[in-house]
Amino acid sequence: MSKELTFKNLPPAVCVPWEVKAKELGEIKGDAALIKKEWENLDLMGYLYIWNWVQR
Amino acid sequence: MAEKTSLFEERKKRYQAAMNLEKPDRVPIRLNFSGEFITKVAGYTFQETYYDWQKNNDATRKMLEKISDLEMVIGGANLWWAALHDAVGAKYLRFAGRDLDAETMFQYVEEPYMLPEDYDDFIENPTEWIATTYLPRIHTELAEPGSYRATAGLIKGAFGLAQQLGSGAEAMASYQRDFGVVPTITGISKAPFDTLADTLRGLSGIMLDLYQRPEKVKKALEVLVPHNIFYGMATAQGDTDFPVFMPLHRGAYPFMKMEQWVEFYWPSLKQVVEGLWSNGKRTMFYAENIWTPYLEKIAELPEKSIIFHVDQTDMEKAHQVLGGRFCLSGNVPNSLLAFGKPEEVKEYVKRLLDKYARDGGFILDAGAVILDDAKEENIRALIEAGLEYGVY
Amino acid sequence: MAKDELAGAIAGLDQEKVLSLVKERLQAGVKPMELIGNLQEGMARVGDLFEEGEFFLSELILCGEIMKEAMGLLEPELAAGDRQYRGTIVIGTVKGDIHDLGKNIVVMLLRGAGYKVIDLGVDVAPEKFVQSARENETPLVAMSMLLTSAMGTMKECVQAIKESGLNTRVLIGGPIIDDKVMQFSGADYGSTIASDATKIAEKVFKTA
Repeated sequence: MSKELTFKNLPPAVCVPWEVKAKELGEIKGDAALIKKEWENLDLMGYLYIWNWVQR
Repeated sequence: MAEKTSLFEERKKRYQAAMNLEKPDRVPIRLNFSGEFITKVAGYTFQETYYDWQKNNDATRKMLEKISDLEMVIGGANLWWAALHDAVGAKYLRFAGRDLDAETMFQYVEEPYMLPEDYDDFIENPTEWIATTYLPRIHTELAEPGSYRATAGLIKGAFGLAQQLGSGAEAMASYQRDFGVVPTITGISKAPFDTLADTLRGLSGIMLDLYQRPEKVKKALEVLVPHNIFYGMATAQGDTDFPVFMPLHRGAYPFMKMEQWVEFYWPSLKQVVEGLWSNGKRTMFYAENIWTPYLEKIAELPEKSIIFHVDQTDMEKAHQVLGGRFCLSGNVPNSLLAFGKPEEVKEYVKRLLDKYARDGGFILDAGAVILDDAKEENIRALIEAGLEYGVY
Repeated sequence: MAKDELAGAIAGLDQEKVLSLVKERLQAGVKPMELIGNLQEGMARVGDLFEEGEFFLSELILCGEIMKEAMGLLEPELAAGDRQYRGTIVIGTVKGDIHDLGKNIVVMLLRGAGYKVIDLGVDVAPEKFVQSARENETPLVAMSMLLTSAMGTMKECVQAIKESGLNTRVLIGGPIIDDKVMQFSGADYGSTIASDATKIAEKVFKTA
């Protein structure tokens, strides 16, 4: 068995869930929805990169 | 320009009509060429298009210039850019010009890269397991996570893939603009069993798992279902005009007996196809080799949700069981394209169309991916025959 | 059903029983060669079941795994010169192709049938087939292939044997073998079915 997993049962498109990141960021002074949208977009890119090595 | 646009629209309409079981003006011709065939026609060496992605994209353009009347293409010649695999140190691919002669087709080295003891982590969080355990294992550059080499390897890998996809999309748009060709497919996905069997456990590994840890296999397949639906939609960038490519491997006969197929291969594949279909996305059910014993099960899928592709499946039986329910495609034997004469190809196509394309819902194609052994004159003969005998 | 219990356990794919029977009989002083005979009897049955459509590749792969483990127990017990074979066969996947599933299954069936099999692996060049055939003085070389694109090298491999002056027959195997491929390659025998290999070997070794 390898090291402990950081996350369990993550859905597709997610490497690091926004909820986790949002908690770490604490108070968001501006437009939280914008930050979330862009976070999730790049998170999706990471997800696709990781899975591209397997889905072939 | 306007002429090419209308050609694109005409071909798209024809393709979609066939997929919807209608009768277009004539049978659409969809040829699934390998990178190696395209490379050969374009006059490059395999090494050139594996390594030089500009040449890879040029190769398809050259083929479209040389073989007129091609109405669909997948994209640039090859699927995999060798340089990207060097950047990460991919153990599982061998390429022409590097560890193979410059004119040898790439080779996939199949090993159980995922071990039996990895199942639990995979089931808990496949994305994390792939990133932290699998990638360092299959990519020599990433072998020591956190090291300089591994960090550089990760960065180069991500840049490389982004570069490849960006130039691929540009190339596809240019083929469309300059030749009016439509994309054969948008996006790719797999049967969950194949995801597990092809790159992770390997064939021997998965076959032993069926006996030694069947419950883990089932759990892993269940976990894969939403990922595979999502992967198909995401790689298609949401497009639903064209089907998602699903190359099917280990579900062919005679890998598993019927009970195993029904227990392990089918349920998760069915869920993926249904999931895609509920997103409006049709699946190109690319059934390589023989699928005759499973036709009745496949008929359970929602009407029109797939294009059932015939390689060595019994064509008569496929038509009987699936005709009128799904669009059918394929069946022109690859050995005929490699060793036959143009007249024989034309004759075969004529018979095929007379017998099975009559009521619409049919796409002309070779049985399997067209490798570089296919003769160009036979491809031309196939197209000619399609244009001549495929008219409704 | 196989007469011998061990043979029956192989054909029944009962891994635990196979291994415990092998250990038990070794301890009781049964000669390793006799046990190999039992295993072969079971393997022959497995080959038949595959041919009859009862068994699939998943079962052959499992059977291969059980055989490997059983042989692992037996090999240390075998003295040099103990083994007796019906003959020697050279086999490999042709150059340009690295698919080994079909080849491995044929190797297993041929070994099960009592032949000594020299497995050259995958991506085997024509001269390597010739060299091994010469060294082993075999009347039969078997070549495997999955990719149609390896057809050219398959032909070269067959021709190399034919031109070597050796009195060696060539069997080609793979899912794409048909009349056209047979004609093109110039091979003596060909089949798409793994279990045909033992029948063809029998024919060749009868006349050899």
